[in-house]
Amino acid sequence: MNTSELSPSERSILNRPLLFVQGKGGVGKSTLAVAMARLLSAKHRTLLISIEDPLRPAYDLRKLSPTLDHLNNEATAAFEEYAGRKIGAPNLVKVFLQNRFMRYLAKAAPGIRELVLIGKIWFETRNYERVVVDMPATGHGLTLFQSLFNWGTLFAGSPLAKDAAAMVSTLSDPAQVGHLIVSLPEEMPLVESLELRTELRRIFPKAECALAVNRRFPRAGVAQKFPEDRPFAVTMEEHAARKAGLEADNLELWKGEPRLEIPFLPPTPENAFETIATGVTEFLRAKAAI
Amino acid sequence: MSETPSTLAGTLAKRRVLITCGTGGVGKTTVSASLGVKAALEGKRVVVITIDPAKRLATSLGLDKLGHEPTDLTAALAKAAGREVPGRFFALMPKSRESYERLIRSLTTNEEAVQRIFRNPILNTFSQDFSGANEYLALEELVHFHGRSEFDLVILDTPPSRNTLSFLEAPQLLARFFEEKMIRFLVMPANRLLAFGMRKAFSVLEKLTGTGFVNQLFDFGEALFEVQENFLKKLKAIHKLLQSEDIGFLLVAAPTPESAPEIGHFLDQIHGRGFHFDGVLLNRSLGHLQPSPGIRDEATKLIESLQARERAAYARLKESAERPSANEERKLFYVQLPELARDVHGLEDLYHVSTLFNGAP
Repeated sequence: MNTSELSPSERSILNRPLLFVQGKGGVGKSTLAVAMARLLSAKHRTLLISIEDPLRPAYDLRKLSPTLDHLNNEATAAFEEYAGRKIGAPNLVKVFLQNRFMRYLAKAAPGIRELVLIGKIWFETRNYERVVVDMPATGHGLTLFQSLFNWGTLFAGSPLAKDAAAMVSTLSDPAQVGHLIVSLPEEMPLVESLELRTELRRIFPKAECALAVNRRFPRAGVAQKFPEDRPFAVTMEEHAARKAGLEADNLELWKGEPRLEIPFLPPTPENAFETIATGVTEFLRAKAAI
Repeated sequence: MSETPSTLAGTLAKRRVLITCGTGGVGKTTVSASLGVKAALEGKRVVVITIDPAKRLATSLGLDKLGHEPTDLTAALAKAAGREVPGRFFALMPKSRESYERLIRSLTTNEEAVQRIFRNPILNTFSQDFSGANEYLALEELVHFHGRSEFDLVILDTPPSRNTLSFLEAPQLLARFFEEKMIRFLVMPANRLLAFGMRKAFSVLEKLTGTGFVNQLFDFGEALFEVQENFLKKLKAIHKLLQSEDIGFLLVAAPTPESAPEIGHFLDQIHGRGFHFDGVLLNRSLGHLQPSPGIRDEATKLIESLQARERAAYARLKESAERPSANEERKLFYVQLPELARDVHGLEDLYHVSTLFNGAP
């Protein structure tokens, strides 16, 4: 099996109405999410959602292109929007939202944050043909999904519980949802990605996941064990050779797993994110990833 | 004004607690653990604590599981390092449920109140692995171990997050939740009736969430009422402890230009709260790699462009360090750690990493 290409069934995972881009911190989730959103927006009206990006204003919605919007999802604003929609009567909404207790509930109660964040994502699937979510790192990402079940139970019989159940039903449906799990060719992210897939399937038994290895070093190497003397290289060539071998060794952890392999693109000193996002988008387009 | 440590050695000598912060994926856990190894090799009795849903510390220590109580790894470290360890080296990965139970028990001796809290479904949901709860419980562990005489140095590896500051914000959010007399309100029926707006807001909440939840919320209020005062005292004590000279913050960052604003922002936040920011550990640097004459392929070209980006990063850092506002108190140390040409598998690798700090200023 050629493992560095995606099969048609995996391509279809990337083309579902709702795509969650997931993985450990620092693996390039944001880059992949941007690239996927740009790719999808060529054919569909697409929304890219970040979760509480501290460098952007809360709930900021930007037009990146005529068919691509970018939202910075944020819990307090999502809570207000949700409460507003549910309560209806503007006066009542005001009383509710300005109530100090409710404000603290929205801001300080850990589980409610997650619930309204995921609720906003779910809601937006009605307004766009494709929604791509740049998820928080592994643990926090799973917490978002898990909150649906915890709070669904706590709110038993209420309109909130009904919404939570509807969200679970959408998020459990492989026809509507795909997960892209991003990793680096390093031991810990590779192991953690497979654990993440297991956890996702525990929460959503029918969850369909495509795997991607980001930042593949541009040299083929042979899996080998290194001498123990020195953990770092002295010359570029030594580093390149060791790294190539190390990656080959690490990728044994994903033996037999079909995956998308994305090259380690050289950054520019400034605007590295945009340079690489553009490069990855082009790479995926050339690969016909969707 | 007290003297600010501006070297790693000075920091290790002075602080009893080091809190390592940083966004996900920068190698924070590896750096924290190796820093602990270094201190143990220099004679300190060290405990490294990580609250990490991904269980990374256990993996990097080559252990399947770390217990809720510190695991003594001193003998294993001596074996891995091939030398005697004059200090002690412990690691632990607290389970949030157990930290939470210990926290509640530390707030009251009334067993009935304790049981009521443990039974409340809202609190049970809170105390699971939620982001904010983890961050608070990390601080809770810190206080617990800071007070224990068998350790000279506690290193706290903060939970991974995209936002370095969410760790600092967790206790404040909790404090506000309590301080606004919210809990008191929930247990006083008279107040409920008095405040029209409040009554209205609750009836809306009830419509949204169902009667069951609102009843549990009142039960939550009553359950917490018992411990409210002690909890607030504890939060104050934590804040005071964080401001003390005993505690220093470290930031682990990538050697990229994007790190400069992150460091500046973090520095402002830390100083704004009266905490002490000691230094930055720039991890996975390739700056040390020498050119290999005659070999030029895509791989070496990639390394060159990564080095160029690093140089741009240092230029930016230097620029911001030389700002007029950068007064003496803001003197930080910068340590550059080379990227390893192998994965960190166990104590032996952590030992190797720990030797790399020695080139530090």
